[in-house]
Amino acid sequence: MLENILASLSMTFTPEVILILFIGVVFGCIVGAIPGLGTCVALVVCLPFTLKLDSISAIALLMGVYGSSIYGGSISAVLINTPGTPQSAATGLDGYPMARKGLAGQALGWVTLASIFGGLLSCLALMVAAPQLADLSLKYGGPLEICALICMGLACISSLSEGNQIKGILMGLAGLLLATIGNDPVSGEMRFIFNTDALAGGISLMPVVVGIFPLAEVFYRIHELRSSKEVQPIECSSLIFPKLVEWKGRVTNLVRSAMIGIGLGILPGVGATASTFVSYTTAQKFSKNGLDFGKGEPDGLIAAESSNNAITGGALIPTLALGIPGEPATALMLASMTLHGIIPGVRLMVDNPDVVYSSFMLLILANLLIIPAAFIVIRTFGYIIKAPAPILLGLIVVCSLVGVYIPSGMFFDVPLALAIGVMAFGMRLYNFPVTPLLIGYVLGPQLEFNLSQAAIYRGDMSVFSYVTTSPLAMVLFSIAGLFLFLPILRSMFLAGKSALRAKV
Amino acid sequence: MKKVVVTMLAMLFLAGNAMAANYPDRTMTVVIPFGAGGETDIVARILAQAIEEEAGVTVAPKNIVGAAGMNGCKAVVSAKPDGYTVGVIPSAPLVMHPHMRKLPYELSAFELIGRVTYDPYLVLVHKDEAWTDLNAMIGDMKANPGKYHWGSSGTGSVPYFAGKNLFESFGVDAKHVPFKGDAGALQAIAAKRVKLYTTTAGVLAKHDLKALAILAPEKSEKLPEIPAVSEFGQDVFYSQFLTLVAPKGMPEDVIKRLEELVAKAVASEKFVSDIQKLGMTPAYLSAAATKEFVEGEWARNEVSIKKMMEK
Repeated sequence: MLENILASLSMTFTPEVILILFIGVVFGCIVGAIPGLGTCVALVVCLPFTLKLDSISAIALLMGVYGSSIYGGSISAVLINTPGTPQSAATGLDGYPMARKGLAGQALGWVTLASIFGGLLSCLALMVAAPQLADLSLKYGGPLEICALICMGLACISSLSEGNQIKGILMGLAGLLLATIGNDPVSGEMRFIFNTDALAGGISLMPVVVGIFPLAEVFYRIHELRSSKEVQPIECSSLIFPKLVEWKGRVTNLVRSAMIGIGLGILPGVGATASTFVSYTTAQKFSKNGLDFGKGEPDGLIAAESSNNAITGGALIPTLALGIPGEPATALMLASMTLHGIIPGVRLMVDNPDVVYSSFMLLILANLLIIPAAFIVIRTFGYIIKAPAPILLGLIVVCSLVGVYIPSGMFFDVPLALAIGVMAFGMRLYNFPVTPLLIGYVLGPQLEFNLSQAAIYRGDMSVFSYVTTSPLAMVLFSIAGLFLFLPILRSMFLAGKSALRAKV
Repeated sequence: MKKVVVTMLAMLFLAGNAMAANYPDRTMTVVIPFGAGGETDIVARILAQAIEEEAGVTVAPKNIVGAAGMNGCKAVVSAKPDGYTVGVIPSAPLVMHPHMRKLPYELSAFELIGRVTYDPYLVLVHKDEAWTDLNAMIGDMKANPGKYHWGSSGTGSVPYFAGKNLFESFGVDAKHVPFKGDAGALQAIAAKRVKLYTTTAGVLAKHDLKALAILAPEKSEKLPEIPAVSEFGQDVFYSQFLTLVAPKGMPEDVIKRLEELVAKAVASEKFVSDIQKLGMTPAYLSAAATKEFVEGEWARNEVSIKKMMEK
């Protein structure tokens, strides 16, 4: 084994590979940061280049882009409240308020460090326990368990909209409804397509994400400017890393969120988005400053970002160890590796151990290289956001619409995104939280799919006896119940208490 | 003034002719009806590169995704028939989906330029299963109706029809579980939640699977130890093939040139080795032979799908 590690060290630390890795990291960071684009677009653009490079360089490019694009999405989430990738939506919840308070540099500092930690921890998990974790994902990745996880993710809606629960839950349900447009996953029948071909494929993810975040934000800013409210411009010249003392009491949060990211990342399909919200909500419950979440609390940032980047390592586990890609981004990486003769799957460690160790080293390096890339990208972004509002907003709209068009190639998605943007803007005006809409929309199809599968496996058993076959599922369902009902009970309790006090 | 106009018009006409004579002389677009990273996408990209080498112009892949390939097919059919927009279409949207629902295109709207790959499906089970051949599996399933589950990559996909047809021909009652694409089904087999899946041979290298039969009239040269399904008494044939298509109405010489380019591209060393690395088989057929092949598949699927849809 030692010769393998040494061999891969020499393969990895060549100037060419490191340079390509760095280019990948910067490129991924930039593309991730531009609202509307994201991990998939970045990887698709790189795909032709990987075909021409040799295998280690190709892996370097892909790892670099993959890890940093998720980080890049957080930059725009913090600076302009338009998460560049859906996984960064939770980051914006605390990041943007911090930026508005003038603490943009510090916010980005927290984000960067939490991301890198999450990424590194998941690399470690990948290196040490990939086969074991892969086996776990097989055993516990059944439809019932995934249903329970998704219910947990959906239940986060209740916590995220504390104080505004009815509207939050309504939006979550609206998201679920929106996701039903298109074909039924089990029977193949079309629903809600109003006899148009355009909707036959359902509403894809990008128009919704782009509509809810960048476009609605643009419309909202225009509204703010026209009602001439005093808007504090966001200044950000550089990263400001938090001092060591500020980490006190926050380390458990950091580690826990990373573990959630790894755990959910290894379950293919549940998705990065669900994981970040589950991690955020868990942190909210356990943190001393839970009530400050949503107003610019570093704990929230840490929770979201750490799990967000931990997913990259987690998602690679089934990809490399089982040959089963968990999400489109890893599917692209899988295809690229196969073309280079590296067959992921059960034989990867046996046939190509030096490639495997190389990949791990490259991923670790990619995470570390985020720091220099971050400085470059944030400084550039800092200049760009100083541009006059009309230009900046116009740029955001253009980039977002381009980002909508690229993945699907269907022009219809563009007016669709605009329509969703207008709708989301209306919701913000009337104080309807839009994040639950995204959560419902992203998790809806997975929930339905897994629920249908679970129903098929259940066959003739009673629901109760089927659920009890999986202790993990029962635990997860109970946690979901807690997430859902605790905030409601708490506000009822507080309302009752203050009513009592008023009487006295 | 008149002279200028006439000259300009003359030049335009000449330019038009010049384009046809020097085809291709600008960027071509290859429409891919499925998402980036999938099987169709990767093969299409390799093909695009190979054609680029032969033709000397940029060949740009473009993914137009949605509705199980319908959006991409529609885009190809409605493109200008000048030879600069082509598509790479797998078997399902071409010969299977038209029998399932009303589509905005017909087989006759495509100019079939050539078949690129052809891979018959295999009946796959987990390596640790006790069944040694197809008969053993069928016997076990007949003895335990409704107990076993089999996977497909979605209702209406090729594995779905393959599985359904297989079980109906042999008279077996097994429960269908839909998944999202190959990945989900293969994970479920690895986790032993479903027993069977059908797909091309590319997955054998990556996963702990064994093939009980090949869904083709004869054994494959690459895998001679796998018996053909006909040996067990039923003709259940399913395969994945990719074709290069273009909209109907192109000028004759453009069609000829395109055919030449595809033939050379598929025969090129790099293409062959890349496709084989993916576990697929390059299997070029000329335009005329492709038309015959596709129409045969169309007719065969019409019969079997209509029969299955009646249930």
